Amino acid sequence: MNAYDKVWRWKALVGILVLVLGLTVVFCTTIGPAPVGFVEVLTILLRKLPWLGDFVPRGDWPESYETIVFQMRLARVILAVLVGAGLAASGVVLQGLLQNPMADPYILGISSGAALGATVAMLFNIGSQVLGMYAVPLCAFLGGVITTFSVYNLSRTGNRVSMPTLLLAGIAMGALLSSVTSYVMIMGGRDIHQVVFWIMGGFSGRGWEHVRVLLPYVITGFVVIYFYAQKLNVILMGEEQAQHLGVDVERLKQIMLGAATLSAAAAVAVSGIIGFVGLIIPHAVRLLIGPDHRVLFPASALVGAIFLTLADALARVAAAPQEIPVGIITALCGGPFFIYLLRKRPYH
Amino acid sequence: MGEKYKPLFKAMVIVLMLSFLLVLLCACGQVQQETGGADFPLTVTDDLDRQVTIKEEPQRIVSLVPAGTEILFALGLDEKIVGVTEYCDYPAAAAAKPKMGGFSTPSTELIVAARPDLVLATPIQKDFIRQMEGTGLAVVAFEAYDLNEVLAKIRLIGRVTGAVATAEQLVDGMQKRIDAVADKVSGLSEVQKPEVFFEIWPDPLTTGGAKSFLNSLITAAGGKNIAGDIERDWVTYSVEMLLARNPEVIIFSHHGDSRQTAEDIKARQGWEQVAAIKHNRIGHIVDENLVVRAGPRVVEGLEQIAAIIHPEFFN
Repeated sequence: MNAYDKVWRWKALVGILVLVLGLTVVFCTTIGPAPVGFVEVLTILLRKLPWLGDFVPRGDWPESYETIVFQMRLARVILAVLVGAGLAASGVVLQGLLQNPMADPYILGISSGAALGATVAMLFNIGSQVLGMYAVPLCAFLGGVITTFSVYNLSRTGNRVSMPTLLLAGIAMGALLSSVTSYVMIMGGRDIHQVVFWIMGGFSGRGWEHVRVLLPYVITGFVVIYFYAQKLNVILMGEEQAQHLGVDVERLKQIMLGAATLSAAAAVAVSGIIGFVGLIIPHAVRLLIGPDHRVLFPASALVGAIFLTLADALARVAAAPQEIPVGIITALCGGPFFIYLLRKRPYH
Repeated sequence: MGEKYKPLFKAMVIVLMLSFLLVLLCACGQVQQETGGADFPLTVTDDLDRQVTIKEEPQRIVSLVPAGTEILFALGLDEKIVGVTEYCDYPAAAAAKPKMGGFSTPSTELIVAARPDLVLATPIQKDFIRQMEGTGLAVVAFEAYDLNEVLAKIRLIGRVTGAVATAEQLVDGMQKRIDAVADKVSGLSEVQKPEVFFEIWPDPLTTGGAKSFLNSLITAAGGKNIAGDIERDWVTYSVEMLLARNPEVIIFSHHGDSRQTAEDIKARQGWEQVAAIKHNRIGHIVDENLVVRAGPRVVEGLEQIAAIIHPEFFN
């Protein structure tokens, strides 16, 4: 297969995934606990299209249905898309950089830093007077970013960062912060409830504000990762080799870690700690299409988005009107599939 | 700091500053209104310090708080309730109302679909409250951590539902029962008030601190809460501390079903030294919701606690 064919096949694959994502978004907007019919949802969505919408007649439904479809469901679905894509993309980068199959977006302490930030914000009501609903996401985001930043600096000798040290520093810092979080939690009494729900992760009660907060980070992260994806391939051959080929390895690490951290920390800030997506999706996609980051990155992001959106739809309706934390669904559905993949196509 | 990643650091600082700004901009947008009278439209300040305006007397009410559901039923608003949570189990008729999801994760789309003109919630649900407000629903958040607050919140709910007179009656009746207990225990000296340990959960051993509802009930019933010196609501209490404080009365009312009995508590290792066990003063409140749910039934909880602490006055 020549290079031209390969690029074509990648483009086709990404195109198909974009299409599937579009269908998933529409499909998942049509399901939920409230009795809004399939056709009604489609009509409500169509009517919102820029100029085409003017030709679609309004049906005989109560005003509240439009609120449900737009402000509740669609916002949530879009948020799941962004979080899923952000976590999967971040996972691809960290697995590539750290060359460790256990790597995921949380391995450098983002999750424990964010959890501590969120817990402190919730239990001590920090900034809620000024920041309102943004207090918890902001504290979580800062917690995650500051933690990764410290882990990076702790593992730095001169201008060099050794990846194994980075990995271990991340794990140590994560354990340290988790224990602080647990301590703060037991002091929190009744409010512990809120913290537990936040840590389990999910999209319950989230809306367009959260989408607006998250979007800039995910887009920035994606653009950066996309442009450096090829260089990440070179690192796969070994850092020394990459250096010989003219790649400024240390600089690449900084840029990629920065991008991955921003998108993962922002995702965690709005949705809590949703496990599994950032670890398994990149592995599964790599098993299916190979390790070239130029296609692995966009494909993983898209599959991550599709997967998390479907999982959240299931979380909303499986035990309606109760909600199941989405992390349970991601692990429950993704785990067996991943085991199947591993059995069928062992890692080399 | 190494020269090489200064740009990255700068970029991070800029991004962080921008996010601060964005957040500050979004946070401003509260409308202030004057507090109105008892008639509708009515504006009240709720427990999240929000000014909530209720345009007309509510005809469709959703309650996301079990205590709120009990209060609504007690005010005779049964017919107007169009939604409750999975945890709203009292009175029995509440269980038959449409469910809007759990207490921690109510489904906002079900609530919107129920087209309520008033939603009762509690501050812990603030994420959902904001989302419901965004869709134009009137949401009143309330909570109560002592007996007086419960009475005040029943009055508040009476006002926002247009059931002021019924609420006054309900509160009067409750106040009489509270006063009846107070009359009997008010003459006691500090020494005559026994030290009480109230067990909410056996493992980890959990009790209510100074900020818990339980604390106010124990105090009103003429007892001294041994965890009353801890400025928190729920407290995991060390067994060692319990033995050291040596409570004269142990009351247990477990959250959910622990299948524990007074005999189990007596049989706990090391506890045989405790005065309450020696003198067989262990009380059980079968329905925990009498003592943890800030609704009309708290007076029943109070009377039961008082009867356990001071059997000489109350049997």
